[in-house]
Amino acid sequence: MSLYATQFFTQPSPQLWNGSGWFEMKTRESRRTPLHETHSVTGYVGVFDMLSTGTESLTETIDLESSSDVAGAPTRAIEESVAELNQPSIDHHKFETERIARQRVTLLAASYVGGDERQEIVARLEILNQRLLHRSPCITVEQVTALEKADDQLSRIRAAREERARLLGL
Amino acid sequence: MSVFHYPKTKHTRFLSPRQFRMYRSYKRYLQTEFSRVCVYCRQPDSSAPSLIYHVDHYRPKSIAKFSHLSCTYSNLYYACANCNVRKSTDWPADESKGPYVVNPCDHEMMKHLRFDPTTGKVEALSNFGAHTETLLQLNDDARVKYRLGTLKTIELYQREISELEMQSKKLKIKLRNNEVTQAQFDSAIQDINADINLAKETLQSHDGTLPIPPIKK
Repeated sequence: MSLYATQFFTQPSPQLWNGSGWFEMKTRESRRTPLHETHSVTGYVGVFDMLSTGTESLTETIDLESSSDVAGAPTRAIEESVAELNQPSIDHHKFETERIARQRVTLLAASYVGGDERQEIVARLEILNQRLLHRSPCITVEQVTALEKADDQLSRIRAAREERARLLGL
Repeated sequence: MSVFHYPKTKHTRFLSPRQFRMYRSYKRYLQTEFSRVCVYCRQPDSSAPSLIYHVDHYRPKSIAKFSHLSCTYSNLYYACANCNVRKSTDWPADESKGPYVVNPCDHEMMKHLRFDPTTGKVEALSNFGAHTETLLQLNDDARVKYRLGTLKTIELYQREISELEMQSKKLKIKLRNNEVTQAQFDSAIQDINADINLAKETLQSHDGTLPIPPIKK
């Protein structure tokens, strides 16, 4: 903590000039409200469902017994909030990928021209290649999964054929 | 034509869709026009569910002089998301020299790019081919391994379909010779046919010959 800050918090009532007059700053201690002066929140607003996310009356609560929602499944409001939160990151990711791709195009064109800076351009191009591959892999997980599924399916078909051949003497 | 191989001759467009205001509306036409493969890397769109394919503007729409071609069918190509992202705004500074990314309508692609099934790599045969290969990262390790894996899967499926068809023939002979009952035959032949159909569908989805649903007008 700096010397000024130390003084600010240790002096009981520091005074500051605000342009028109001196006013007294309250210290941390003096801003705290004594416990006996606080109000009970539940006593003030009454009993209601604190977790309610809908627009219904606050006193209406969800009957958990008759609710068809799957336990642990996020509520619609939470899903919407998560989707909203994810949207900018998806847009940012897309924007960044497109930016790298545009830079690559420019650098690649520059690398054909040659000149003294060619080696540097090639090095920078290599960095961008790796960045692009990291952000936008040429092969997706879905493609690999589809290939693996095809192999599993083939094994099942082959096993069934061999079993049939054994049973029927084919 | 085998999967991943580049066409020998130039493609002449056989579809002439009406003018749309949104270029994305041409996607279903482009899918049919280019036989559901990415025109640049030759990856079929049926090889995995939810693969993303784009409408590529060969002459980039972000370059002012080509902005009017945004919805011109002849400027649009069917490309996988990866190739489309990598192609980005590529256009040669000197149009008389290039280098251009090769496409199936303006170039005889096989003169520029050749797929080697033994290595899984794409070999550049010209400056344009080399530019295309570098820009689109066609020989990225993951791509090469995936192509080899796909070729192996296709080969195994073709072999399995032959085996199943052979088994079907043997079963018919057994029935004729009364070596199996009709009930045994019916049950077995039903299973064999179901497996053949399943294997053929998977094979078609990986080699890009899965029939394309007709375009709704």
